[in-house]
Amino acid sequence: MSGLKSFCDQILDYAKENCGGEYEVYATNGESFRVEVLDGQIKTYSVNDYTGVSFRIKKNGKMGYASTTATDCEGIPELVKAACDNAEIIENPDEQFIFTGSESYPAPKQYGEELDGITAEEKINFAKLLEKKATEADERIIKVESSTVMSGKSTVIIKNSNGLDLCGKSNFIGAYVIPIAKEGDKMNDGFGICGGFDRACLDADKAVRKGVVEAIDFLNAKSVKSASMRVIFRNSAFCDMIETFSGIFSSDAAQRGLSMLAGKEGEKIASDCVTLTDDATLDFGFGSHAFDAEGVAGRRTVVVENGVLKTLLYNLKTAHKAGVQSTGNASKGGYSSPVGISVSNFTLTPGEKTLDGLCEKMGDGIIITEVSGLHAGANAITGDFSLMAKGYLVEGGKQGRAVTGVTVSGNFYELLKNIEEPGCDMYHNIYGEAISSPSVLISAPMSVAGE
Amino acid sequence: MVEKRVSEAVLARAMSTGADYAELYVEDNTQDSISMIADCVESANTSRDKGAGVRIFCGTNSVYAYGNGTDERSLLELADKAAAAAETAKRSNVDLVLKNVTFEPLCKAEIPSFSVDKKTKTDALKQAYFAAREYSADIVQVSGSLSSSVKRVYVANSEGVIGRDERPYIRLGVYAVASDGKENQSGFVGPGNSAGFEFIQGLDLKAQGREAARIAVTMLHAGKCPAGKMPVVMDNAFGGVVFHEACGHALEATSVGLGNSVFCGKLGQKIANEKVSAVDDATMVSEWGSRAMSDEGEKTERIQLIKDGILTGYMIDKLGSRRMNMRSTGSGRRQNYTYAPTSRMSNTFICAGTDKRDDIISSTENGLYAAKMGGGSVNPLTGEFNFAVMEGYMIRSGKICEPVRGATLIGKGYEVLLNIDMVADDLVLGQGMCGSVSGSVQTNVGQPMIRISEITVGGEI
Repeated sequence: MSGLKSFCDQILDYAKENCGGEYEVYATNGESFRVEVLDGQIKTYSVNDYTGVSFRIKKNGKMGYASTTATDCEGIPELVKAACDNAEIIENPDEQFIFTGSESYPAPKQYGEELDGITAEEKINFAKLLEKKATEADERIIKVESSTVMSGKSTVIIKNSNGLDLCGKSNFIGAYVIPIAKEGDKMNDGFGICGGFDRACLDADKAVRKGVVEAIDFLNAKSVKSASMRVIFRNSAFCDMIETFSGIFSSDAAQRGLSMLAGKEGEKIASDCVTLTDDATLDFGFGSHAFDAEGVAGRRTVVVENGVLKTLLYNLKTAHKAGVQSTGNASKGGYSSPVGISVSNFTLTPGEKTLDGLCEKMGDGIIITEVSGLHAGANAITGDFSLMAKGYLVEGGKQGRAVTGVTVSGNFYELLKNIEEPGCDMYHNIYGEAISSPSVLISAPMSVAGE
Repeated sequence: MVEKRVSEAVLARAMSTGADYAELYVEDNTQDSISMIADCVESANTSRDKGAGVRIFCGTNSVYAYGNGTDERSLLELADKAAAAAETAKRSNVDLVLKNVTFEPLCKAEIPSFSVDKKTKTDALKQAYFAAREYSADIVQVSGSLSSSVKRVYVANSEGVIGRDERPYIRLGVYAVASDGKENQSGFVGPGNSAGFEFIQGLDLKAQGREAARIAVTMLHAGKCPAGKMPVVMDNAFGGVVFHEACGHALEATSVGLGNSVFCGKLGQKIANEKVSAVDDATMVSEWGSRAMSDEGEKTERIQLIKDGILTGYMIDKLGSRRMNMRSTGSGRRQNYTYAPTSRMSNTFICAGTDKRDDIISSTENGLYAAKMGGGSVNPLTGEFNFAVMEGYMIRSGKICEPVRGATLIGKGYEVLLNIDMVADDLVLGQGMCGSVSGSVQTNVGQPMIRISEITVGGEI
């Protein structure tokens, strides 16, 4: 890491001597590990060290970006020149910022020291254990398509001409299993996952149970007759829905007319039972950060309270435009991406009922346990979605037969208004965005298309 | 990019613990993108991504180590990391002599995109952008992008090959949003090619922009699509995403080699209507999914996947070849050095048939006409797929009628293939990015207009 810091300094020194204006280096490095086991043997194994450096410069009020993975001094003039050239063609009139620093920074725990002590051999053995447990869990499990352990750690450095000098590090470990069940000529797969920041989070039984139940329950699942039905989204499925549409809470999307929440701050946008919080300061949250991609301190922000939109999520640029403070939600898709906005740890506040309790309240309808095709069948701008779904029928308040081959369609903005009751069964997404949600009961019937 | 001597040393080191195959992959990729939104140039970014990977096989087990360093010391370290993970007790001294193999480039940039100044590129993007913006008062927002890249690839493997390839890419994207104040609808066009700036010069940029806007405006004034089972006529070009999702992925060694595809063991059997023939052809000149050399240092091929309804081939990479006991078809691809390669599609399409477009529509009593498809996904094990219809119309009494929105098509790949009952003669390709285990790669989908006799359409009840 000291090598990366000194490379950053060299870039800043070069820029100081050769360019005017304000400029910043955003650098990241780290390592990742992945092992996949098949039939008790390593199927694929990969290890990686990476480094990426992004340079941005504000010239005549415009921000230009360039990035590289080649950390040799010879490349520095080319990197700086590319950023300057890019700044020349920018037309966006919005004021841009190279930050000077927040007064203080939170210190959420993001690094599980225990993970450093887990050897490659232990990870391989855990992947083998997952496969073995899944195969032995039920005689209908004929094999495991994938049993994988992944881990990684990374460091982020932000240093700029305004004196900002920040460094943060994080790590994680995770594992998943995809068992395949067969009965007659029918085959089906399931997906189970576990992960976190210590040894205890590698819970093989939990991951296997979920994967095996999913593989077996849907072996004989059938479609239903197309109908308008009451719906419960199970926790993990609703996490996926929130993740798909989390962009509507971005002030950037709103200011560009790409979110229907534009101008709705202070208004009722969801039912009374909906409270959504974004909190970058949680210990061991997958989305936690002490500082965001612009170096602004991470914080806790209540986005929706009892159905009222309290605030959108801001970075420095959009906050300036709206005359408010940044909420510390600046983000980069990767080290080379320009600064955008995303949620940190985004949570739908739970209610009191269990999933069974929600079923009882619903009476007749369907529990959606999985939605797929989110990248194609969901339109983040309009809120419209039409998604392939799996789940269970609910009859007389009791969970019934498994259902597959249906699509559920509706509109996310409407869905927020139609949440009748959130349950108490929190699920935490451990890849993709860090979304947490309980199961939710929807008040208005939804279109479920089947046969 | 790497000295022959160094490659030989790296491969030998990688095989020192008993591996029976080793491969070194080095890549240097420079990308440039300009994007517009709200009627002005919003961002411009240039990035250079350089890295290397060393892969070894022990039978059908594979180990991959990768990183950003491409100097001799870094490459030898990668070889050591890979060798250390080999689960064999053997020690072996490997002596390799590598030979340069020339792959005649299929895709050449006549006007290399990096030789074109940013102002010229910006002006081209603006033509398409403002054509969309000015199409209708309903258009409230447009975003546009022009991205280009040049990727230089070097592969050396223990079969003795050293190969090099240079791959230029360029793509325009225009995304238009129409709104009536209550609801929004969107339309997209994204023509691309493995070529230089001459591809952009050859486009009718204004027509591209207008097309994105037209879709958005048409869908804004569309009613919701009715749900249920019905015949679906799918138009050519990006309509081929149905074949890509419903069949293509299940014909990749990635799923077939592990027994996880519905098409396992079906070579020589009828899997589609006899009107259906399909190929995967990486050897087409300057096409989006083409390349001369696979990412495993092999020559690419035209693979006949289906001939008159009979399954005739799979897309196979080196590891898949070992698993399936079949020869590799040069289908190994990867997004970049951070992924080990696996079998992937290139330009994959249903071949032209003999039916006429007009006959297909007029012979369809009632159904859905999917003029433009959006993206989709598939589970290769069960064959279940879903994809979105970006621009759809109802067909009534053999005529294309009112536009409908919000339709998705869901079904099983092997059922749909058998249900394709008409195939027109107007094959066109469409560009997309395909995501799978070895990352996101450029792929062409394609087909002539086809009719599926019955498929489940998700929409309004």
